[in-house]
Amino acid sequence: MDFKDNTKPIYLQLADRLCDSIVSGEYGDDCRLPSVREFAATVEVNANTVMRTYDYLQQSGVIYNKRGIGYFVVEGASKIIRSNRLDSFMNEELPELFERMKLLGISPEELSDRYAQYCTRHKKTNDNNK
Amino acid sequence: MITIEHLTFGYSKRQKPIIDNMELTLEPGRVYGLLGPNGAGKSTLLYLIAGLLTPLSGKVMFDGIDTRRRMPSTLNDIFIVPEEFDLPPIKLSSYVKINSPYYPGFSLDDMKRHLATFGMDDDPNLGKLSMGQKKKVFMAFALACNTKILLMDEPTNGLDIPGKSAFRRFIASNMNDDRLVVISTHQVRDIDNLLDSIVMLNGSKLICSATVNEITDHLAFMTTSSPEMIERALYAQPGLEGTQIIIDNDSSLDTKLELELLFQYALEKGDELNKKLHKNE
Amino acid sequence: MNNINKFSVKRVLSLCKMIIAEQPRVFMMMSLLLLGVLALTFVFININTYNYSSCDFESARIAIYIIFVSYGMIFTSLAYGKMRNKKGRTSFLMLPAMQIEKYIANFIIYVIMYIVMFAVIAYIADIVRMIAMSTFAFHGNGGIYPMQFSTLWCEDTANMMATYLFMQSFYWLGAILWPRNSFIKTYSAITILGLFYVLVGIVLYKLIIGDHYYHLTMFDDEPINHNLIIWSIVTITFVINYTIAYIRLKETDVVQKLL
Repeated sequence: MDFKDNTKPIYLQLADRLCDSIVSGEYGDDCRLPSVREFAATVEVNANTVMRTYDYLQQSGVIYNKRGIGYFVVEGASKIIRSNRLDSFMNEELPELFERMKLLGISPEELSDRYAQYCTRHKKTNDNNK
Repeated sequence: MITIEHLTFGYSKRQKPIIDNMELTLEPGRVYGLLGPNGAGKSTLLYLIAGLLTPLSGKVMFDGIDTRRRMPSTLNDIFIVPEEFDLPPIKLSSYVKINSPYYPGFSLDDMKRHLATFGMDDDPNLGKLSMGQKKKVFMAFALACNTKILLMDEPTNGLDIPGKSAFRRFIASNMNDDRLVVISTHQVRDIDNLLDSIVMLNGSKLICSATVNEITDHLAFMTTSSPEMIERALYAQPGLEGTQIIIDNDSSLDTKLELELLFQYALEKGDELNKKLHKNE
Repeated sequence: MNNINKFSVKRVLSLCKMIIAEQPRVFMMMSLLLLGVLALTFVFININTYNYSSCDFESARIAIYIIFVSYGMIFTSLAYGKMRNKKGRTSFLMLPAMQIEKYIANFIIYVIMYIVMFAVIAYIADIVRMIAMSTFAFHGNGGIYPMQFSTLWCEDTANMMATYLFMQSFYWLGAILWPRNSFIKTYSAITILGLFYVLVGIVLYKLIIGDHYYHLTMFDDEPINHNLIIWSIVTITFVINYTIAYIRLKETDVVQKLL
């Protein structure tokens, strides 16, 4: 397995991957996730790292653990994930983008126009995502 | 589970020892990466842990017993897969029949599973296999013995690409709280996601002994083009996407450990690395 | 769990099976070779016997004696072949069994099994001789008689065993000290040491006893029991060599400093 983002720790990259699977519907509500060891074997990563991923997702409220049985997707996890990702985007990625835009001298109006044009052009793609 | 106490080893008392007064504890439930430049003593350390060499002073204890005593109760819970090994020119089934009784934890089902993972034929004649095939078969056997300690010297050397992937899946799916795996290698990229603890040797000393989490708690790894950051970095290495740097992790960043980068930093400034990792002790 | 660290006969037998199973061809070849040597020797003696009907007894006995001891030395040198190189030593030392068990298993195969094997093969070789002689050679009156092995079991057998055990113990030690090219190295070592002791013996004799013959008469008074002396020397040598060999085995490391 190749890991794309150079600086994000593996356990977070794995968390992203699992969240993607949940959002896409591969793991529905109350669905049982693969065991730590199974998932570790699939992605060829140390089981302790996968354990950290599962702990992280538990703390984020996305999955829950039934002792002795396994990990399950929380009801409504998709929404929680989307909301978390929205927060993360607004609070971390956007400020970074704004900083760069400011340095390049791009105005808020220009950004607004371009985003509106983009949305019109890709209306179909947006509909699919909802 | 394995404690190395004041271990000193060399082939000649007059020359500088290969391992000098080493203190190290290896805990169960972990996969250790043993790194070091050529000739640093990685294989030697593995042999010492297995009890295959007699130290000049100090000892290696496995669950309270000195491994050098070579008692059957320690031997049947340690399996070493050397870089090179010979197999007798007999059928695999015969080999398993002869050797498996010595390992109480051996499971034939596990053996079959591992062989399948490696895509190996059911019952080849061991004398007719290529080096890579022999490695796959032997590693399948090694893992099927379910020993508490698994020592591997350059395990991915000679394996084809599917074999390396199979190897990673092996190790990842067979970890448990009792088992301890030590992988000595130069091919860091083959296995770096499998490791949760790093042990580095250089010049007869231990220059790093920490878990991956401990390392990423104290150090941050990133790629940058900013000259100020490169200037202030602990270590910098130019690369394809920018300069890879290591900095003190003062802002509690959560970054991915770049093992090759860390290795080069450790070779250059081993003492500094050690101090940073054990700042709180 | 404690049982694992106790001596186990079952494990010793299993180790014996392993020694043979790992190199079946070597044992088969050595057996066939021995059969060939013995059969040819018997046939040769038979042909040269005045009365064709059986082997000249004296010659046969001497031949068996020589072949038993020298072939025994060669066979013993094959022991511990696995320790020839680092890879073999690794698998030998890592095998979960007590060192003493591994030691005894090798002894059972390379000494005890040898003795039994020799007796069986000698018997077969005699049969081969009889078949060969009756098929190809002309004989005068009567048939071909098998060799009277039972008469071979006399005091000469004791001498033969004594010589065998004596020489064999050196080669046993050599097999552990020098797993590579064991026979040649042991042979050279014995020759050199032997010459050394003989020289020292001659010098000491000249110095201590010299021309003082009357010292010798003291020994003449008491009838010397040759057997006792021989067996004492053999036993002491055997015990010393085997003990040193075992100590050396326990000290063996995967990388030998002295080879």
